[in-house]
Amino acid sequence: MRKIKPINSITLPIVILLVGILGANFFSLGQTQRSSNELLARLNSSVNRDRTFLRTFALVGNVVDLENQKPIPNASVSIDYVKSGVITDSTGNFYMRLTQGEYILKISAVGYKIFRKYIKLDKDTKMKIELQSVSNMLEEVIVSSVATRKDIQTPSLGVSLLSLKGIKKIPAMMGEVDILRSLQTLPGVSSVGEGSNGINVRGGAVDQNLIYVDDTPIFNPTHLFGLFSIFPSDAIREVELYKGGVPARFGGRTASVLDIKMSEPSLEKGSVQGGIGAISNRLTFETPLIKDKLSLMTSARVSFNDFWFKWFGSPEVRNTRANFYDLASKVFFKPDKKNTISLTAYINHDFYRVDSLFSLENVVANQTDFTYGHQNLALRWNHFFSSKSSLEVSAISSLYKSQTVAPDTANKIDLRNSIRYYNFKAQFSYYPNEKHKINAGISGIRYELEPGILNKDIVSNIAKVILDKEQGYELATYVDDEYKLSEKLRVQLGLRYVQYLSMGPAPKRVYVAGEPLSGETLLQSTLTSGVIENYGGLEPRLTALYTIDANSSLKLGYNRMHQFLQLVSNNTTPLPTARWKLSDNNIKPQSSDLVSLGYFKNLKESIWELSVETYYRRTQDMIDYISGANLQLNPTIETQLLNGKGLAYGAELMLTKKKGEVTGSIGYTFARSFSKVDGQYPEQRINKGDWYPTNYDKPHTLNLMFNAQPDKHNSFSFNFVYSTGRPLTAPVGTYTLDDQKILVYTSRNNDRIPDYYRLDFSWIISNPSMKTKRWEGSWAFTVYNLLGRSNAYSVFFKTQNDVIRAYRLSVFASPIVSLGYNFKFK
Amino acid sequence: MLGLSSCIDELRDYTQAAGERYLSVEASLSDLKGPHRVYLSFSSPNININTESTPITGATVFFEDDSGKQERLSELSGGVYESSSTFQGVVGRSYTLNITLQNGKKYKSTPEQITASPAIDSVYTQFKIDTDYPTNDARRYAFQVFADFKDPANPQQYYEWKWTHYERTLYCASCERGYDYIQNKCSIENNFPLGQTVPELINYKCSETCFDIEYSTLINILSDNLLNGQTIRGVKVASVPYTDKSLYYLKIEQRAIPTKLYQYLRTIKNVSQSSGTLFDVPAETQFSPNITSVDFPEEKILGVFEVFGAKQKIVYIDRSIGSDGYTAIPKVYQGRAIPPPPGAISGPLTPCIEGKFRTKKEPEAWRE
Repeated sequence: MRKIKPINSITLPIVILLVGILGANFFSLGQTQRSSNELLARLNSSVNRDRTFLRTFALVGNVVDLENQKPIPNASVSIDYVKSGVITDSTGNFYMRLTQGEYILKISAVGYKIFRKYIKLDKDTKMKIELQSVSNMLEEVIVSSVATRKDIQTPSLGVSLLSLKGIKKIPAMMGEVDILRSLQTLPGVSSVGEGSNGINVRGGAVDQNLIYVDDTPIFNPTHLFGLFSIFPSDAIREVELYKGGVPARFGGRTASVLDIKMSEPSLEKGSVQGGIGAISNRLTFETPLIKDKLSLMTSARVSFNDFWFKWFGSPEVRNTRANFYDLASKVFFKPDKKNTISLTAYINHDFYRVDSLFSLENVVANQTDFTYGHQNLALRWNHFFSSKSSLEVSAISSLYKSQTVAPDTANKIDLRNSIRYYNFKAQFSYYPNEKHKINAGISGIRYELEPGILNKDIVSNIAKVILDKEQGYELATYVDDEYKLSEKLRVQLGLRYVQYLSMGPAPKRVYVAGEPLSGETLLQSTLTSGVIENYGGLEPRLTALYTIDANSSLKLGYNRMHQFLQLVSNNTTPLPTARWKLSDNNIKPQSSDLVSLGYFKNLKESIWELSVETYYRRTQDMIDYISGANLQLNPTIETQLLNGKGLAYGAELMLTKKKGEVTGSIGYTFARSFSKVDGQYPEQRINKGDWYPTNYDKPHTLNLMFNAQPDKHNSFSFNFVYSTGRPLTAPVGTYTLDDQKILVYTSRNNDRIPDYYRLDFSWIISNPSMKTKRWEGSWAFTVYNLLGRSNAYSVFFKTQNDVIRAYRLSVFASPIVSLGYNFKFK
Repeated sequence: MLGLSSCIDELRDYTQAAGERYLSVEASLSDLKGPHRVYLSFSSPNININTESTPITGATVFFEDDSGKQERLSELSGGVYESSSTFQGVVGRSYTLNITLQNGKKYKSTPEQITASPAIDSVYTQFKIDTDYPTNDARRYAFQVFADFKDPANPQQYYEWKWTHYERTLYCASCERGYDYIQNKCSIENNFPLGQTVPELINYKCSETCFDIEYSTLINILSDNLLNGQTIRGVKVASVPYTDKSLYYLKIEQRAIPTKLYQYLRTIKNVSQSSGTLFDVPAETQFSPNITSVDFPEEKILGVFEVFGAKQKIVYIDRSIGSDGYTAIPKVYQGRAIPPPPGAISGPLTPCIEGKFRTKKEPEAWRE
């Protein structure tokens, strides 16, 4: 048994202590903005004071509504958190006599935010108290479905909008604000476990999500093999996730669209913000270059992790290096009122060195360096013809490359692969009247893949291998109209046509029809230039909104999508170096149909929101893998792949409290996800050709989120998640080979790992000095996995001395505490 | 980061989801001298420690070459079938394995051809200190053994390495209650030798020449796909413990294996050497790539008919080279030996019992 000592075994007691102190103080102190020592001292003094020798004074208050200044009757008055029994009269007044001293006054009224104030009573005091109505407060919610935003009129369904302000309140692991992790608090979004390379949306695989950062595609959304997401939080304005109801302007992936928009740099004034954390440091600045015309924003995040391994790591990981950075920059140009031009550059990079992890055809490396990252560019021009029509033209390029190097052996290994992506698109928007909102557009994408280059220009015993390049075009045109049929019924009707061309020069391999693809059934391989194969299809999109009454609505959605680029990986979670594969004459494109139905209701003046969504999805031509597939540098990868089907369905319930001192949400998801691979021959079947649960099939998930902001300076958040353990392939027996007991595995995903739950906590103290200055600092204290539960990431079996044991691997086996400092300078 | 907070622990309350049982065949034939063996059993449907495979007795087993010549195997003991010791495969010939169970069920392999293995050119060692282990841990020091050989020009060659180690048996038996010389095993009832009065672990020296045999257990395979036609250097074939400075006997076997066998072993390796990391491939048993039921071709069979050409090389690893300045960590034996009574030349002795892990026969090229 190998047990790596967690770094925080020493810090844990301190943390519990801290949390204890915080918990005690939070509920007894109105103003945590003073230093805690001072507060404690004051607490003591208030306990010890002897009132009998002191004079009494009158405390007279007038309680009114902050907005309309109307008196609030029946508000309850508490002194030092004990109800005084005093309530305000019909004119909003109250009166009480107290001995000389210091008190915490609390006033609460139904529908209003609680008022707290520290008062020093040494004379008769009269005060005016203004309470803020909860229904007039700004929404403080982290996530909202667009459905119930102010523009409730859009019929979109299955769409979630996350504001970065909200995301930053969610307890972040090691203090790293993480978009992918935050998304997992939404119903219908999950992952195979901590440290997994992407998210699973409504039973879809990680490569079925279309991820854009300012319209540039992301092929690997995580740093450090899945630990942190790559998105630079300070540069991002908002995150929109389409789990269904995907507008016609998006296409190319079958499960979801994650559209991340970077902020536009301000044309008026500059600012600097940044942060120091346990994992990375961040710095963002924006500045107008020509006032009201041209501005620039640059945001950087750089990790410095090596010392963790050197200082705290066990011997096995002491040589490990793990570093990453990301850099986002945007230039915004507004030459006149009718035109805007923006240029976005986004680069991220990872470097990871481990002692041994990698082998190639059983040549094992002693040390391996992995590097990977994106280099993305987008140029966009918006032209506004009038208030009714506009045009947006974009040119986008992206390069994702990964490299695996084993430098120190006689058998040097240098393995690379890359994806190049070029996209040109234009969209014309026309809003003729309030009944129609029409968008139409075209898009052309060129893909160039280098699926594997081994030891090119390298002297090594290991041969040079260069796999054939893959090329393709994805051409699409679309139109959609958001049409208001009546006051009660609105529809968004869209149609997208997509044509995919698999391009040469590349060998076109033809196999015996109907037979399993293999070396033996290969009929011919001819070098083909021009079009090797083409596929096309219509993608209807529909969402309909039926307004039942002012506070409730019913929505229906349907969409079809195609996918021509798939990730080839049979690991539990794909490696960042995994190979992508374009559709060709042997690999058909995936297609998927999703139907969803939702019911939405606002309660209590929109303070509460309830949503119920259900969905059903069928996917055709998904790829799966033959038993014992060899995917590494395989020139005829199609012989390792099988054609499968997918099925996913589920129901998502969410109750959100959007306003008030305490906000939060409860989400419950029931979701199933299955695959079926049933070919004509036994080797073309998985689990005898029956439906079997996918790696990410987790039927029950419960998410609780809770945020309390007693004042402007403190924000406390808790996040709890429970989910069914993911499927596991477990042995059904053993046999003997060379005196070794070998486990027998016959059906995929026939068992499950233990259930998962985790509680996180964070406390954000903003502007502790309380003074309004240009410099605003804040501290973020976070405990990830507060309960210290050793959640199983995986369960595996090992034979040692003829004894077979089940082992559990936990990625975060103990609470992870972190403290970070963030600042803003305006 | 993962390494810092992750941990692996045993899942003690794990209960097996389902159990299945299959015919399991472990058969090998090479161009080395016989006897060549076939083990027949039903696999165990339980991963529990106490459940073993069930041997299949009374089967008829024979090898047949492409000229129709047959070699019938005789049952050595329960489920173990053995060819004559003079029988050996011929390079270039193809062989099929034929099995008929007592109940009449017939199984047959596809013909498998023997490819000659190139010889091992040289073997060398490197003393390696693994500072992850404390100075008194035997795993801290090892002599890594490497081999070089010339890969022939033709592509798609696959290799496997095995080793066998012989050393003089120090103790032929270790018993708590004495030794039963009739049954030739430890006594169940108290039958203390002279010098023992209470049940305790006593080690008995051998009454005759005796050798312990140790075999490699890891699957060590290589494909020449990326190395074709070169002299392949530095293939790690064994790791020798630093128990003392004496010469260490090692018989290294280099096998040229067919593609099917390589692919089969690769999947076994994936299944048995998985570590629960985030990037494990799904555990999947590959059923026999070359043995099928004659009457029910869909029947799934475990195991493989291994046919290969092999070359052996016997080397003595000189453990005084490179290890200067480091203290060897000797093997630890539980229990105690009884010193010779006055006038005798030895304490109690027991015979050497022939078996897979022990032999009276002096190994090939043995030197003291």
